[in-house]
Formats: sequence, structure tokens, C-alpha cells
Amino acid sequence: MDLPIVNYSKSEYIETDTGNKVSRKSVICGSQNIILGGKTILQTGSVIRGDLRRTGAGHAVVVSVGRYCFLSQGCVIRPPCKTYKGVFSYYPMKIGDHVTIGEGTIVQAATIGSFVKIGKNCVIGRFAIIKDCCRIEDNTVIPPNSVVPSFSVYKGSPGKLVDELPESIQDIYEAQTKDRYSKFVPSRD
Amino acid sequence: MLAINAPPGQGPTRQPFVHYRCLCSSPGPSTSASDAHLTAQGKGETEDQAEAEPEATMDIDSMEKGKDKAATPTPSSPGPSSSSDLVPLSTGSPSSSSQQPRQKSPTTQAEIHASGNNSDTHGSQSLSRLYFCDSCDEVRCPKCVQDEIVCYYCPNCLFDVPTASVKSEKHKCSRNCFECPICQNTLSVVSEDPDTSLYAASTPATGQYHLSCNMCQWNSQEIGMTFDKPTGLAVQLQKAEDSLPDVKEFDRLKDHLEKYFRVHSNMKPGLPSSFLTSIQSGTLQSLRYVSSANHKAQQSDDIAHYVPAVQVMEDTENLEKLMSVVSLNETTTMKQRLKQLQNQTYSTQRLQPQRIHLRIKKLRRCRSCRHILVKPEQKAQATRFKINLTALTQLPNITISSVQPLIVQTVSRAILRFTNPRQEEAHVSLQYGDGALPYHGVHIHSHSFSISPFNEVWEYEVGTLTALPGTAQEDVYEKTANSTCIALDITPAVAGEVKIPLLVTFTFKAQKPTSDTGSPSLPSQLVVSGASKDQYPTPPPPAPEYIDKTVSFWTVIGFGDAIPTLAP
Ligand SMILES: [Zn+2]
Ligand SMILES: [Zn+2]
Ligand SMILES: [Zn+2]
Ligand SMILES: [Zn+2]
Repeated sequence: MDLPIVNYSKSEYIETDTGNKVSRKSVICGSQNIILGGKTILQTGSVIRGDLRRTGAGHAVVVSVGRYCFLSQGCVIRPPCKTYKGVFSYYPMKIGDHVTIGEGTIVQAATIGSFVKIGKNCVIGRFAIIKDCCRIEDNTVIPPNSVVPSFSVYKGSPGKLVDELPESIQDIYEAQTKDRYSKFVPSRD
Repeated sequence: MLAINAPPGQGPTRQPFVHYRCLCSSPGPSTSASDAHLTAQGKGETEDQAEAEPEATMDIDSMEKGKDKAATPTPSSPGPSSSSDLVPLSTGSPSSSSQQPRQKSPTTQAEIHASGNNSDTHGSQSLSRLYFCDSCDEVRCPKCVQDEIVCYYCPNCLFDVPTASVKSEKHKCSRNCFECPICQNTLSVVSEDPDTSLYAASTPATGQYHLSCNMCQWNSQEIGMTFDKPTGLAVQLQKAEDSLPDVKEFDRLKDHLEKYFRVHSNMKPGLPSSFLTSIQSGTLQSLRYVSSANHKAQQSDDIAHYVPAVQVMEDTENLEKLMSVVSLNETTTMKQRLKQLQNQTYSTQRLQPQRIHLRIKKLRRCRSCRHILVKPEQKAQATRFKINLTALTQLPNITISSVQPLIVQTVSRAILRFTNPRQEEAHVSLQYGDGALPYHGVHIHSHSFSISPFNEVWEYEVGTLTALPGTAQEDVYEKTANSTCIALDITPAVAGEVKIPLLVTFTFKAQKPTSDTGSPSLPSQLVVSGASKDQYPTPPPPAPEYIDKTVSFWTVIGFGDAIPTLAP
């Protein structure tokens, strides 16, 4: 089935110069530390904690999100943290292009590659690394410090390899995210 | 294009799908239970999760039916008799002939026509799992491609493992990657005294190291396993592994049998075990390999008698222990036991952390002509392909754009979208399979139409979903950038899932194979997918010669469930 056209209220979403569409009902903390790549959608109730930055002074990028990403309702992007040499600190997080993060999912990964689809209600643990071209099924827990290699499907708690993605997955996810963006349009009123 | 989420609320219990049929799955005696398993596993990944699961399970059911059908070749022409059941269509369309004249070209077309003219989904797959051999001009599925190992790598540390050392390291990572014996999560190396790592990392590491699970809190100290250094743990562990009586015995038995394999079969002894690193098809293939080899072994019947060197007698001991178990938590689960290669213990106290199994990158070849269909880059972490002939980049991608609720004996409109992944304009003609059972009434509004080429410029212009100026208006439902939509009127004959076989004939321009250069693969077909897509690829070769190519293949399109006629 073709994706339905999603109409959003013009008063709820702000569109940036680079085509990001950010809900006013999302929670963006420390926006000066957050980079959105362009054509990325932040839905109602999504949370990005750009305020949780590395201890010490100075301006730094805390969360960077690529192009054509989709942060669904109620998902939480929270930089990972640890105590190292007796000092507690947060560390930056990088999310690639064409990444979908499902509803209610909590992400504390170190990096998420491009062409990644994360389902609903997942927990991506601290400093997890998800490489390019992966899918995380709904309700999956990726434990802290784990690595999800490319072309994997992970599922369960703890998440385990359950399938491999086909070689064409990059084209599929790219087409999906672009299609979704083009169909996310303001309602006429 | 492709659905992300199934539309919520009321809907058919069975999700719509578009499957492409590979010729190798046409009725034949080769269907086996393992094939069914393969297909069920290897599908349902691309569309969306919501769709994937019901489909996969559903397919197993249909597969059971498929097996029976496959055993007795389906009569090729139940069509004409049942076509009289065709309900007159209420829409007064001018060209109401629902059957196109038969294809002209003789044998191959007839073969193709007979091969998949049914609505059986057995052996058919979504386009994303298929390949297109541009030398045979045929669709290839995972069963008719041959896999070759490009490289081995550890899925945790992502280091390449040289092929030479894979066997001696038993296909497992020889760095610091271990799997929790309880929950199979990856273990972390931690210092015994948390204070050392937290507050005094500068002090000399006098403390010992151990493995710890972030998920279930298992700790290798529980089994008395500690290390002096935080590096080279696998080497230390492998030494202990190799000295276990079970492992020694296994190696002895292997040596004994390997001699035999070398003599009696032309396969390399290293091959089957190396295939085990792949998770789905490879595993089954390897099992088949082994079993066929064993079969040969039994036939010739001259295998020397093997006398075990060590007798591992645990059965009575195990039985006694299991009889006195108070809490089930003390006993290992089947999964935990099977993960223990050396010693399948029943006691959780004796479970050992396991080194992580390597994964492989695969090159795929056409089984018929040996052409390479997919060639990944050598490096473990690269996700690009040097050669990429996945069907999705070569054949029209058919999706169901929309479908009205299906009611028995009532005309419903469905819209099919055909997307052209090629850089040149392509042409499609359609024919409804008359061998479908049950035979639903289908009226295709446009039997023959063209699809505009794929053009990357459109990708950046959001909203250019209109027909190009200057293109001749065809009798199609809608024509957009690189896709054409056509309308289909479906009159379900009976309630239940409506599956419709459609023969697609795809004509496209392909570069003429040049004989002067040695390389058989053409630049236009070397689709390099990856981050470098943004950069413009190498300049096109001077004046390539084009020829028209025609490919025919069967698809099975599921439109979901039809509900019985509503009471008047
Ligand atoms: Zn071939
Ligand atoms: Zn095949
Ligand atoms: Zn490793
Ligand atoms: Zn564990």
C-alpha cells in the first residue's frame, strides 16, 4: 500500500530552512547543542536531550541527527553517560541518515549508522553501536556497549540476531524515508 | 512507494503483498521441508514489521498446500472452463477483453507461461530478496544463486579475520569478544575491584580482570574465571577449551572422518563448517552438504571402525543430579546447553563464556551462468557493493497503491504502481493468469504502458508528482516521475484471500555487451550504492550501444481478504 499522506497542523510544526519539521510539542533541551541534518521530522512528544553535555565548559555538539530521519511520538534521544576515572560525564551521540526511530523508544547509543529502522518501545542501551543497514524489531532491548553489525535484524531482550537483511535494503529504506517525508505535509487551513 | 506502517484500524486480516516468482520454484519434485523452511525464513523483511510476521507464518501454511500441488504437476489449463464464471463487469470500459492475445515468441514464452500460472505463493518472494541475472535475463532467487565467502569478521569487534586463521580459531573471534553463557549477550571485560577502574586507573593494574554481563549480571568470578591481563583473553580461554576431553575426542573423531571425506567426495572438508557462520540459508545448505556426504559414506561401507580414546561418562551422574534438583534455576536451558560446544552441562555453575561466532560477507553468483550478481566490498565494515544486480535495481517494482474493500461478486478497484529503477524508459505489458484457482474476475484497464526513467534530480524536488510535460498521454491511471499507476477491477469469486497471478513482460533498453573489453559487466550495471551516491559517478562511456531486452516473469499479488456478499 502506498503511504497515506499525513497532514499536520501548520501551527504545530516549525519548518527549518533545511526542511526539518519539528513539532512544537516535542521537547528539545539544549537546542544549541543539537544538529539536525535536514528533512528530518520530530514528531509530537519526542525528546532530545541536548542539554546533557560533556562536563566542562565550551560549546559542543551533543546530538547530531542526519537527513531524512524520523523521530516518532514519544521517543527519547538521550546522550550516553558513564563515570570514567572518577568523573561522571555525558558523551555525544551521532545518528546517520534515513533513520527511523519508533514510538516510545529510548536511545542512549553512541552511534547509529545510516539506513537503520528501530521499532517501537525499544531500549538502545548506553554506548551501543548500531552500524549501517540494520533493523531493530519492536520491544527489543539492545544492552549497553553492544554492537549491531550491518545487515542484521535484532530482536528480543537481550536483542539477538534473528535474520539478515537483503543487499537491497539501503535502497528500500532510502525510498521509504524520502516517500514519508514527501507525504508529511501541512493541512490546508 | 513502500508502506512503512499498515493503515490502522479495520482491515483485512491478511496483508496485501506483491511476490515475484522465480522460475526455479515452478512445479517440480524438488520441494522439500527444508526448502519450505528456507522460504519462510528468508522473506518478510523489507516491507514492514507489521506485515512481515503474519506473512511468514501464513506462508508456511500455504507451503503445505504447495507441496501437495507441486508433487502432482498442475494441469495447465483449468482456465478456459472457469473463465466462463467471469462476472460481467459493471464498468463500461471500451476494451473489456481481460485476456491478452498469447505471446508470440515460441518456446521460452510458453515455458514461462506454464511455469507460474497459478496463485500459489509457494516459492515466490518479495522483490527485495531476488536478483536479476543480466546474462541469463532471468529472475534469480536465493535458492538459485550460489554464495561464496568474501570475508570473515567478528560481529562484535568488527575486525576482519584472515581466512587462513579462521579454521584454527574454530570460526570464533580470537580477540576479546565473549558471549554470556546465561543470556548470550556480549560480555564486557571489567576489573575485579570497581574502584580501580573508577578512581585509580593510573595505579598499576594489580587487580584481576573478569568478564561481566551487562544484561543478566552474570560474572565470570562465579565460575572462578579471572584473568591477569585485560587483553588476549581468547587465547587464554582457547587453551583451556582445547584441553577439555570432549574437545580432544571431537578432534580425534574429526581427523578420523576427514581422511574418509577426502577420499570419497570431491568436496573440501573445510567447506561445510565454514558455511555455518551464515545464519539462514547457509546453515541449511551446509546441513544438506553434510548429509549428502554421510549418505555416500554409508553406501560405500568401508569406513574404519572408530575407537574412542576418552570415555566421557556423565549420564548416571547427570541423572542423579537432575533427580535432586530443587530449583529449576540451577539447571541449564536447552539453548544454554547447545551454546556450550565443549561440554553440554546441566549445571549453571559449569557454564563457560563462549567466544563470539564469526559472520561472513557473501558474494552471490547465478547458478546457471556463474555471473556475479552481488559483490560486496572486501572490508567487513563497508556496506557498499562493487556489483549489485539485486532485482530491485533492475526490474519494475510493483506495489499496491490502494485497494477498495473486497466483497464477493462485487467489483472493487485496485491501483497498482509500477516503478522503474532504470535510467532508461521501460515498457510493461500485463497478462492475467488464467490458471488461478479460485478464478477471480479481473479486468486490467491498461495492458500495456511505459514507465519513465529514474532520474536522480527528482529526488530533490519534493512534490513533483505530476506527469512530465511532453509525454504522450497514455491510457493509464496516473503517471508520475518514474512510476506508472494502472487500475484493476477485481471481482472476487469466493470469500477469503484474493491472490492474483499476473504475467509481467518488461522491455527495457540495455547496453549491448561489448566484445572488445574483457569485462562482462557493464558500467551502467555497476550500481554503486552507498554514501558516494551524492557524488556524480564516473563520466558515462562514449556512445554506448543499446539493445532492447525483454524479460517475462510471474508475480502473485495478494490483495487481502474478500468478505462474503452483504445481505440485501
Ligand atoms: Zn545467469
Ligand atoms: Zn530461484
Ligand atoms: Zn571480536
Ligand atoms: Zn548475561
